[in-house]
Parts: sequence; C-alpha cells; structure tokens
Amino acid sequence: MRLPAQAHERIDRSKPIAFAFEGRTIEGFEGDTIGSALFAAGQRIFSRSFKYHRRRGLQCCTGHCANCLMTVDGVPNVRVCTLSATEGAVVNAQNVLGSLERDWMAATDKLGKPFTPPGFYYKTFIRPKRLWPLYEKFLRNAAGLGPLDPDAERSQRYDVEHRQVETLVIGGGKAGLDAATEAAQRGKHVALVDEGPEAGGDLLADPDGIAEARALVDRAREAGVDILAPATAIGIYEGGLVPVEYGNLLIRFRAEHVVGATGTTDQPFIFPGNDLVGVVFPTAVRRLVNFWSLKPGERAVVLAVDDRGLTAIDDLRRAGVSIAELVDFRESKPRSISATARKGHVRQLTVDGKSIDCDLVVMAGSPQPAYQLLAHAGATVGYDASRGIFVPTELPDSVSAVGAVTGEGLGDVATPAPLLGEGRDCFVCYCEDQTTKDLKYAIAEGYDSLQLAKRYTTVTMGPCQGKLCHLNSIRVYAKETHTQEDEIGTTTARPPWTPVSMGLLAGRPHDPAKRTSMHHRHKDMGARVFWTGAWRRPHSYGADTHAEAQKVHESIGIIDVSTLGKLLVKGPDAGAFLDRLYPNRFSDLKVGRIRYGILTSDAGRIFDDGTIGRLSEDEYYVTTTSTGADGVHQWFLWWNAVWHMDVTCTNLTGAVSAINVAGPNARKLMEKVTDIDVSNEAFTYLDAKHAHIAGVPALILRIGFVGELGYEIHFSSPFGEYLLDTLFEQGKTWNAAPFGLEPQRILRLEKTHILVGQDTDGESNPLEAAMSWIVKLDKEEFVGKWAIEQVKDRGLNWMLVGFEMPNGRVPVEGAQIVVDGKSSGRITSVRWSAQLDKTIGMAVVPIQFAEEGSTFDVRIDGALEPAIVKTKPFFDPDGTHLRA
Amino acid sequence: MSFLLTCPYCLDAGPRPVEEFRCSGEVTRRPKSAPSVRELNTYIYFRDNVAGIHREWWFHRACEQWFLAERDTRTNKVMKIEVPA
Amino acid sequence: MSGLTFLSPDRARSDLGFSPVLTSPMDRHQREHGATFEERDGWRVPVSIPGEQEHLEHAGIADLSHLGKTEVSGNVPDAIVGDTVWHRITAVKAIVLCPFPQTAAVRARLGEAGGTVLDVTGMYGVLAIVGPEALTVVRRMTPLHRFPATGDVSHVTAHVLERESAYWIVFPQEYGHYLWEVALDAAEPLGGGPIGVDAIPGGRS
Repeated sequence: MRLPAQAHERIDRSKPIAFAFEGRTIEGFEGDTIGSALFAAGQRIFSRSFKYHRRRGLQCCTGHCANCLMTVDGVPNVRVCTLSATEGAVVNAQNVLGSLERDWMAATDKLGKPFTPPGFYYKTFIRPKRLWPLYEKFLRNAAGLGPLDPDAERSQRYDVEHRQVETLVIGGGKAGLDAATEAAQRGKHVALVDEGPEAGGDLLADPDGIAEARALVDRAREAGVDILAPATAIGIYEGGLVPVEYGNLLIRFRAEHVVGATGTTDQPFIFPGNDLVGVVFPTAVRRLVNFWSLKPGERAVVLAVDDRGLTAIDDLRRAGVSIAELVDFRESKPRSISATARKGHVRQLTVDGKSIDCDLVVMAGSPQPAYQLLAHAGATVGYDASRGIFVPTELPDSVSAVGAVTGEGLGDVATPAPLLGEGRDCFVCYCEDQTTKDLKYAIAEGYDSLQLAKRYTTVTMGPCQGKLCHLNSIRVYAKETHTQEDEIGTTTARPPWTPVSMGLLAGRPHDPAKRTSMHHRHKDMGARVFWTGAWRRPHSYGADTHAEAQKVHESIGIIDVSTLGKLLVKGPDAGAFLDRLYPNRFSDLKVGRIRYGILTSDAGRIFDDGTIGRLSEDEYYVTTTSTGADGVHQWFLWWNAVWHMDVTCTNLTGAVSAINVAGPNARKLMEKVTDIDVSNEAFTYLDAKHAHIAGVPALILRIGFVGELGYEIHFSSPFGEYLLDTLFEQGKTWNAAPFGLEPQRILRLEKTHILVGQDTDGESNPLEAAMSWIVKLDKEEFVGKWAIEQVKDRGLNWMLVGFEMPNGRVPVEGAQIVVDGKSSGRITSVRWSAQLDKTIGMAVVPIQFAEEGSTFDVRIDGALEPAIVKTKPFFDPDGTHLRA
Repeated sequence: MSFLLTCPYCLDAGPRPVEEFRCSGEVTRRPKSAPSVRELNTYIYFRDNVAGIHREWWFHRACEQWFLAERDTRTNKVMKIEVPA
Repeated sequence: MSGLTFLSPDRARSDLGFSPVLTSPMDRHQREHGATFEERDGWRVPVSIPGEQEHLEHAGIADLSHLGKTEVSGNVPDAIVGDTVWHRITAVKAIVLCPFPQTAAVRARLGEAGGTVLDVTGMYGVLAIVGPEALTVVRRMTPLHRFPATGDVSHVTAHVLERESAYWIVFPQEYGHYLWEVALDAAEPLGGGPIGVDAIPGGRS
C-alpha cells in the first residue's frame, strides 16, 4: 500500500507498530500518525459528521479540520491525523451507531436534512413540554462528538511548567526560524514553538525543502534558540502569557516579545459535495505523499487559484496518481462545480457541465492568514479586498508578525476561493454541518448580522474554531446581504487556537490545604478531619460529639487552636493604632493582661473578633478568627499605609501553634508541666504569662471560649507534636481527652460566645449583636464609629439573643422566625446541650423580642414551635467556673 | 487577568504576575470628620467604576506591602505605581 | 523587655524533667518514606532515605526545615559574621537562614547592627531540590525564574533561593504536608524522589 521508500519519508520501515482500531489490528511504522497508518491500511472514512452523520475522510492532515476525530485510549475527540501512532493504542470511531461504514444515524442526512434548518430542535421539540426529557435523551445521543465517561478517573498525567523568555516565536516556518535566529543573534533568550511534527513549516512538505528546513533549524539552534515541536500555542494572553501544549505538558511561557509566524490556513471551495471523502486540501496530499509515502488516490482533479495547486500536482505525479484535470482559476474561472459520490466517496466532478471521473479532488483555494493568535493578543484585522483575505492590520506593542500571516507573499491578485454553488450539500462549516442553505435561511429569518447568525447557526463554533469556515461564512453573508466583506467584519477570535484537553488545563490534582503542626497526631487519634476555610481540622474524634464535649465539663479537654490568626502589633504607636481599629480601648491595657475585641468596618459591620494581649509596653499579641487571619493582617497593614503610624504588624499565624487545655482539672495538669505558679491568685483570668511548658518556651493566655477554666498555650510550631503528646501523657491521670470543632461549638454556645460569620453576617453591627458594652463611643475615633453612631441615632431594629426550645426540638440553623405570619429574623446557631439537657441557640430577633423571657415562633418542618429568649449565657452565667 | 505588575517595594524583582497581588479597588475619599448618613453611604458604597484610568490599591503578598497603581481598566495597562504618601 | 521569647525554639529547656523535640512540618512524609532519623540540636532530622542515591541522579527532595530562620526589618545590615544565607525581600526586610545552633548569635548580631529582629524558625518549612532535574521541578512549581525571589509557589506565597545547583523553597510551615506532596509529585516522573539531608551534595546546608 505504501509507495517505494523515499529518502525524505518520515516513517522508519524497519520499526513496525501495531495498534487496535475498532477491534482490528492495524500495522504501521514508527513515524506514522494514527491517521496515516489507518490510511495505509485502506481506511478512507475517518468520522461521521456532527449532525447528518455524513462520511468524512482525511482532509487537511494538519490537525486543523474535525474530520478525523476519534477516541484514543478512552480520550474522545483526538485528531488522529497528527497523533503519533503508538504500540498498543486502542482507537475507536465516535458519533456512529453501528460503524463508520454503516452508521444507522446517517438516515438524518437523507430524511432529516431538508427539514432540519437552524433552530430546528428548539422550534420542534418544545411541544409538548413534558416530553422534553425524552427528546433531550434522544437528541443528546443523536448529535455530538465523542462521549465522556462521567465516572472516569484521570486517564493520563498532565504537568504544567513555567518558562520565561525574552522572545517567543510561534510558528517554525522559514519566516519564524529566521526571526528566531535573528533575535537570538542579538543576544535575546528565544524559544520557538511549532505545531508540526518538526519545525520547518511548508518547507517540510516539499522533498527539496526538507534539507533547507533542517539547515534553518540547525542555524537557529546554534544561535541559541530553544525549539519545541510538536508544540501548539493555545493562545496569547495579556502580560505575554502564552500557554503551549507540548505533549502532556502545558508550558506557560512568559515572553517579553511574541512573534507570530503562524502562516496560513487552507480555505475550502464551496460547491455541492465539497465535504465528500476524497475532497482534500493540498496539505493532505503533500503530507500523505511526502511524510508517509502514501498514494492519496488514483485519479485526481486539482482546483487551483495559485501555484500551490501546481506543487500538489508534482507530488501527485510522483505518487503515481493520474491527473484527470487541472482547473486553474487564473486561466478561466468556472461558474459551477459539483461533485457526486458513491457511498460518500467522491466519484465524479462536474465543472461547467463537463463531468470528470475521479476519486480525489484537491482544493488549492486562497490561503487565509492564520491571524487568530495575533488577534488574541489584541491585533486588529481588516479585509483585503484585492486578495479576498483578512489580514492583521495593527499589532500591540509587544507583538510582531512575520511571514505569510501578514499576507506577505500571498500574491497580489489571487482570486478568492469562490462560491461555486448553492444548496443543501454546499458545506460552509464542516464541523457543525452548516450549508449555504442554512445560512440563507438564517438571514431570511432576520439574523442579518454575522454575530447573531453565528450564534443561531453555530457556524464557526465547532472544533476547527472557525479556521475553515470563518472566511467562507463571511463571503456567503456578503453575497446574500449584498454587502462587502469588510463591512461585515470578523467575529472575535478567542483562545484556544485549537481544541485542548481539559486535563491539560487542569494540571495536577493538588489542594493547597493548611495543616497545623499537630495534624497527623489528630488523625492518629481517629479524628474526622474536615475543611474549615483553607485549613484541615478535626471535626470530632468519635461519633458521640456530646460525650466529647462533656469531657471538658467533667475533667480536661484538649483542642488544637493553632488555626487562630495571630498577629504581632509592635511599635511605640501600637496601643494608639489598636484604639483606632477596635471599638474598644487597648492603649490602657496593662502589660500581661488580655482583652476581647471585635473589628468593625467603616460601615460599622462586625467582620472579625479575637483577644488582644499586651506582651510589653509596645508589643500586642492579637488573635483573629481562623479564616480571618490573612484578611485582618492585610486590613491592619492597609490602615497603616494610610495612617503611617510608628507600628509594624507581623502575621505569626503559622509560626505559632496553640493548644487550649480546658476543664475543671486543667490547673492540675498545668502545675505538672510548668515551672510557674498557676494558682488562681498568681495567674488570674485574662492574664498572659511566659513560661516553659514541658520545657517548651510558651506564652500562656488564661482565657476561656468553652466555659471552663482554660489555658491557651502558644508556642513555636515545630514543638506541636511533642507538646501535644506530652500533655496527653501527663494528663492521663485526669483522663485528658481531645475534642474537635463540633464539641467546641456546643460548648461555646452554652456560653453564647458569638462565632463571627455564623452569628453575624454582612449586616451585623455591634449594637444589634448585643455588644454595646464593647463600643466606646466616647473615643475620638475608631473605624466604624460614624456608622455605629448612626445606628444608635436611628434606633435598634434587631437584636442577637440566646434562646431555648422548651419542647426540645432542634431547628436547622438559618430557620425562620415567624411573627404574625411573616418571616422576621432567623436562627443563627442551635445545638442540643447534654450539659444543660436542652436545646439552646442564638437568633437574630426583632427588637421587641429582645427582652429576657420573650417568646417567639420558629418554623420547623412547616410547623411553628415556641422559643424563649435568654439574654445571659446558658452555662455558668456568672463566670464562676471560668474564674475559679 | 494575566497582566504583570511591578511592586514599588520590590523593584529589583521586576514585573510580577498579577496572581502575586490582591487588588482592593479604587481609591476612595474617607470623610475627615463625622459624616452625614448620605456622605457615609456615598463613601462606603459608591464607586466611580470608570472605563479608563483610575487609581487603585494593591497588596503585594510577597513583601506584604500596600501600594497605589494607576491602571486602565479597559486594557489593564498600568501607567504608574506609587508608595502611599 | 520583649515579650516574644516564646517565638525562639532554641530557648527550650531540657533541665525541667522534659526533653522537648522539634519536628518538621514534613516529618510524617519522611517517616512514610522510611527515613532514618537522628536527633540533631533538638530537631528530629531525616538524615537518609531509601533510594536517595537514585533520586539524586535526577531530582532529590530534602527536608531542611531544621535550619534557624530570622527575619530582620527596618535597618537591614549588609552582612554579619556567621554561616548565614540571606534573602533580601525589600530594602527594609530580609530573611536570614543559619544552622539552628547559631540562631541566637544571628539574632544578637542582627540586633546589634540596628535591625528589628524576629525569630521565624517556627514560621517556615524548608525543602531543598537538588540534582540535574532540580530546575525542571522548580519550573513545575513556580513561575519565579530569577532567584532569590518571593512569589507564588504552587498557590502558596514562598521564598525560593538558589544555592549552587540546589533550590531551597522557604514556605509557611502550615503548607508543609501539601508542598512536599507537590514537589515529590513533580519530581517523580523525572526519576526524582526524597533524599535525606546527609545525601545533599556539599553538606547539610
């Protein structure tokens, strides 16, 4: 089946390769693509078209058209004409019911086509509405490309790599190679990418050009150019970002300067039967003959508007194909052409009434500059009426263009690839099966702008990305609407230049999770870990979260609170700085003491809270919520960028780990592991002290979030595992037990401590969050003061209160509060408390319900259930446990 | 959004990918003293949102510094960077 | 009197009936790789890992978290006496790495030179990438290309330093587990893998 060996062929006949195609074994050689090996094995039909299931064969052999999409090793929609053949690959046809040769869906071509103009599905299958699910199921199967397996795992590995160059040249034809060499010789760091099997562009397809191409490549490499092929630039994004598909590697190039040397794309002629198997572009002929030593057909008709048709004739002759006719448009331009077929293969071409038997038609139409990538970068494009093509007109600063993409060398008076017929078999858009008739229909229906018609007919929206149909659709539009091409303009070219697998864009499956220094110990102890913001944290250590909470009330519970934000605010102005950020005061806080604070925005909204300890005259240790750390840090830095106070703010969140030891026996454990006096007299509630805990230098904060006597131990993170182990070991006497976030939420609710973001939202101000005690409106200034004053002036509408459910039911968080049949407020937190043996919660209620003992209704499963307002903490309301 | 931005504190590092930064929106004018309800609402909620050049705040995560930039919102071209005065 | 002594792990005491030990944020990975550990200057250090010689021929990934790390700001000196590795982030902020036992001396000298000093030993993990494919691994983790530099490393803001043919990634320690996985995942297809710190050519640091 192959031609005799040629010196320049790409295949190595000493190295056979076998792969499976539709259950058969196909043999090819190293250097073959899947497509060329299939062609060598006699395969001519490569796909069935999108809508009408028409037979389609190799047409471009450059990866531009959608005629050879197949499923390879489970990956759908692979262009097999450019995919290297590999041993053992499993290749299957797609979008067929039956086989490529006998596709039962092809009935849509014969029966359906006259009745399936644009919009047909939407217009037809809308009634009766209830049948849509059935229609949809059928239509989804009838039309489309390869199926995706929704349960598929990652089938291949894709990596992402970053590279920085001064100049990136896209396209390795003569112009690109010359530009790259020249830039490299000027001392630039240059890379060149080419989507072909090797750099060289059109030179490679010419037996005489191969040596020249390789010499140019060698010269470029010697100059220092990094040449990658096959490597496809997907797009040009701002900042000189050019993602390049290089096998299973996505290279994210950043280039100071991008040179587009992307050449041209062949454009089809429009005539009835222009999609038949055997109707091809010159590139297909050149590659079949010169790359893989294959004979494209037996009898050819060549339609040519320029010399490229003549070059194809040389190739065809060398391959032993007889030339039935050369139709040179420069000599005389035919008025009509049509092709007839046998089983989808071209059989005869009729030119101005003269019928010519053939099995191959070569369409050497006018090449269109492949300006798409330049357009991604912001180039403008204009129509050159004399040559019938679109060319780039203005380029952005950091982008240039060389070679045929600029229109250069394309001839001054080339005849545009003409429209030579009309009707249902004149395909304008092969990918989406759109014919001239469909476009005329759309225009007749009122879609008279190209942009609208594109969306309506989907012309140019298929896998070829408009490469083969954009220009022709504009020509059809111009003709039908009696306007000029330049008035119609172009549609926007958007990345990707060519279809890209989702896996390539997705890269590797990594989640940038934060973990505390004790993370793995929690897992060793059986913690159920869950996401809280960017952190992975223990939800609980067993199924019974109530029992886990009770251990804190009974003896000692230990929780890892390393995720708390921790900021060091330092400098002579530190106290004054915090006074301006928080509604309460910190400049008067004594060294070694701690105070609670909330942060408000200029809108008076609460957005974070935490404790602030004064470590020395000019050092404050500020804690924030776990998810708020970065935001609060940046907030502090921002205000100081405005105020310029003598203060610095450092985020110590990761540097410092923290463990909270809580429960009635917590002091006993502390006595055992530390060298300082931890008696209630020496170390009182809200004290901050330095000490060694089990030998580890630590800052100990006597604070309580969970209602019992508690110590929060802050220490350098690498001690995490050691210190946690030691505390459990030393705490064995009192059955010290770990507790997770869920038990902590029960415990804090017993104390009605708010969780910012749970009990507050973007509307919460301190007055209506029942924290008027913290707001010092007598201070000269703080962020949020004005808004809070305005709330005070207008009067309070809502109040955050505690509540109990006398009937013990537990509503969902977010449940409605109903007043006079209207939704009026909501539950923000609710839990069953084993300690209190009742349902407790917090809710935002209308102000008239804010009094102790008020009752309101909560909607649970449609019914209204009563709740009673409690304004004091449910557990230890006077703080005797906490201060003991 | 893949443009490059130069941090005035990290000039040696050259233009950096925008992912290294956080944009905090256009520069607003904070009232000097207790504003009316209308003045406060205007300051908090209203933005010029120009299609063109405006001044905005940026935070560079690498050096943890805030700075100001003048950027054309239509092209992402950055005209000017400055340290807040 | 500063209240920040608790930030310095070298102030740990083993004369109180306890023997504190420091572990890297990537310690669990090293255990899973079958590392041999040694206690060095209070740290549990993975000194060797099975397969490290083969990994080194491509890209070896080592855990250097046991270095001392100091941040100096404000008045940043040009140099100090000692075995230090510097990364000047801006004109007024630098990170100085040193062998852990020298941390106290480095803090003192930076302070004497007029800088504001903060012990950030606990803030960062350090992983070293060495071997002929090291730069490829780095390129698969970050767009940074001139070193030292600070910026995005696999979605984490980190410092990347170049040390002869090695690259050090100095990152917030809470991402240790994650970044080790990412680095190893990038190195594995290139034939790389984990190595112990004693396998790093040219010594421990």
